[in-house]
Amino acid sequence: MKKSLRILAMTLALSAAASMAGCSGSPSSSVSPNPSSSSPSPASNVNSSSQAPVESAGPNKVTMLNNFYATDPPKTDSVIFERISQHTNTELEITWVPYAAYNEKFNALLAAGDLPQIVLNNEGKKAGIINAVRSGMFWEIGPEIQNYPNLSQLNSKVFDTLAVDGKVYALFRQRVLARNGYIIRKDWLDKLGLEMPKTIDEVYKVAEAFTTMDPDGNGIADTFGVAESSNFQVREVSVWCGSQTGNFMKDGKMYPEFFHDGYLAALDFYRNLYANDYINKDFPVVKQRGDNINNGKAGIYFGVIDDVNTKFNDLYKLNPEAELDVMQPLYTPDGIPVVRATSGYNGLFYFSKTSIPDEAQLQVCLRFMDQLGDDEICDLINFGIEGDHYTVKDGKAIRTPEQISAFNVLQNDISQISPFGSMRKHLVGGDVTPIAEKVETLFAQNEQYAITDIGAPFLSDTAIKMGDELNQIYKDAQVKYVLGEIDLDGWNQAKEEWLKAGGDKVIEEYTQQYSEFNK
Amino acid sequence: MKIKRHPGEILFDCINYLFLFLFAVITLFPFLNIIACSFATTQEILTNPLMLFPKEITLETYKYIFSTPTLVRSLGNSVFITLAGTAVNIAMTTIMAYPLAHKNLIGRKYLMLGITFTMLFGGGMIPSYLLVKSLHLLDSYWALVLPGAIGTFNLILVKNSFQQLPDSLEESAKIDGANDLFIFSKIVLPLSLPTLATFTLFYAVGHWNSFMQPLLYINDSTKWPVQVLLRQIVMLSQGGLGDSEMLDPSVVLPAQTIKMASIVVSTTPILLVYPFLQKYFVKGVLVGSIKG
Repeated sequence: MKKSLRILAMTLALSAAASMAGCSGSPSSSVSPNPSSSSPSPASNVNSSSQAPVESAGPNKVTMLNNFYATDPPKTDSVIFERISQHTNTELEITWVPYAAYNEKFNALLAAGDLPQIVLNNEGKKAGIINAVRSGMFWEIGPEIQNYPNLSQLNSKVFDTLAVDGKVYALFRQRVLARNGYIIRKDWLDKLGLEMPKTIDEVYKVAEAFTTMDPDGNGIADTFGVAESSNFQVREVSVWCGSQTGNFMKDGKMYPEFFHDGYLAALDFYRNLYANDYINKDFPVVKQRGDNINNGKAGIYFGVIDDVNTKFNDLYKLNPEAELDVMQPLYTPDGIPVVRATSGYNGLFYFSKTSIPDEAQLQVCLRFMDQLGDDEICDLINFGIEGDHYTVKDGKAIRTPEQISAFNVLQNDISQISPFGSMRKHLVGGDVTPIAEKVETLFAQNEQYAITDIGAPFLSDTAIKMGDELNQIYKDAQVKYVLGEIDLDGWNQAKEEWLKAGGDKVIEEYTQQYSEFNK
Repeated sequence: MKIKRHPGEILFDCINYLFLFLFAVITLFPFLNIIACSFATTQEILTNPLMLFPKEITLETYKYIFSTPTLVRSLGNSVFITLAGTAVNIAMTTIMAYPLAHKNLIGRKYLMLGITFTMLFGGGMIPSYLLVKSLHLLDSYWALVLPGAIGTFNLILVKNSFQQLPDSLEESAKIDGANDLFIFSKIVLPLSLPTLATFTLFYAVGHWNSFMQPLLYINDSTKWPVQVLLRQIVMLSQGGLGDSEMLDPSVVLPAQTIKMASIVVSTTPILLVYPFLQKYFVKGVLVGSIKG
């Protein structure tokens, strides 16, 4: 009896110790705003900042958490990384995480208080990251940006949209604003003697012609107009129908876009396509809408127009005669040229307080990010090393196919570390295809027509908390509406349901912030 | 003597066979389709995605996925993790289950209580991460092996199966002068081969499929198992990225054929384990152990 009691006591003591070890670690390191108090354990030396003073001669250590899209992460011991380290006088240490699982890893490290200095976050305005920002886990960098020559050139309007409670905590990886449009089979248009459609009504007529007039000339009715997938582009089409991007003002209130008449017009557009078979009937379960372009069955593809450079190589293999063209902007029924704007960025860089102990180290990190925008680094990221991977001729980078493939092996998503991405160019490529050049020109030309989201700078607590559930309500309804399972009443009912489930609060919160902002 | 069967019975059997055959075909179809697609050209997948046999067989995809060391390396990692992990699992589980199977073990009730407790209340992801980190196991294969060395539920099942062995067997061995270790290794384990085979399979499949733990605990990409790679390939080739407008324009997504071939290559090894363990499932538990 005595013995069994002793064993019981031991078991209890062990389990108590284990559970305490498990619990005590997380709150102290994840909530604590004071970095010096967190994780004194020796294991943290991997991620904690070096104690090297900023002005010392040796390289400063910069650690980063980032994602990659390839099957293998970029090699941090490659000659390109060596050059970056040299140029920025840093010792780079990057934790690469596959894109497919990035958010899981990020959230684990965030909760464990184990984030490196510079961390990428892909979740926009989800609860987890906003709460972390509000609890003081990241440095506010807004006022610092103007001190850096390259960072200060980033679009300040995009910075405005990143603010949390009026303060900017993050850098962003910039992307093209006017990126949306459509891609179309030019050879089909030519064969049928049609023009590039400029309005949504004209697009509809072309979709009809592509379905009924046998554009591939094989005598079989096996083609259709629009290639779509479960993630169908109704939001983009709605802007062409006169709606706004994201949110719009009506009667002094800020409504989400799907309350707009133009949005309904876009749904009607899809509903008619579906009823007349001008679209692939299985679109709600299709994952890659590009497949139906690639196999030569469909002729119109809504989306980002630079997809034309990368996504349709299989089409040319199957049919060397095929020719694609891009269109941007389209004209609303009122004759206004419009492009649905993107957010202007992909992923945000936050600066973690747990591993950046003081302002001095923050400066090191910011200076590193700034230097990634220097001409040398831009060329390095875009084209590799001069002499090895390209030669300069008339201000253009000229490359042989061997040099391109040698560089591709090395670069492997290297642009992911830079806020400037491939958008900031010093040299331009000498081997650009005509269509790629057209895309670039359109991007620059049409930025003025980009309709940006007026609600982007604001945060709705209700939307942060339950935005996904709320949106599911109207997303389910819009698919049903397109498939003809519900009519206009059903769609209006879904909007009512959205309001009742908490949407009215979202509108209220956005409206309030909007009116304060525009005072 | 032959029993004459009623025509109704024969009809019933026929329908039964037909139904089961169709069921088997439905289950097999995705496998065959994936294998066929992995040998097909991209163009053929686009025109005929539901093929069972490609018109034109090409090895290009396999050449491509084996052209970089990534897949082979991660397969090697997976094999190593599975072998080492399963060995540790089986050793730890049986060693712990054996004493617990004895009713005269002191404090057995409380030990069992402690074990069951962990089934109801787990540490969760973050405390586990902190634990692994403080044990300096980050970036080490041990992080994938040690924290889950004993599956609680499996432990209880193994314990129960040990309890099924007749006490007299052990008593007779004791009388012959065998000690506990000898009885455990020479009598109990050999008699429990079917049980061990079952749990080897459970543990091995678990290790082979484990994705979250390597992702969390291993930062060094050269140590990643094949599931991390596979998920990346499958997600990207399906365009499971949400808005493509967020994607960097320079990113090229992997082709369907590459996805299919990667699935084949990463699933085949663990499928091959099944037939070898199969024979243990069929054998009786106590064949010939006690006479009389």
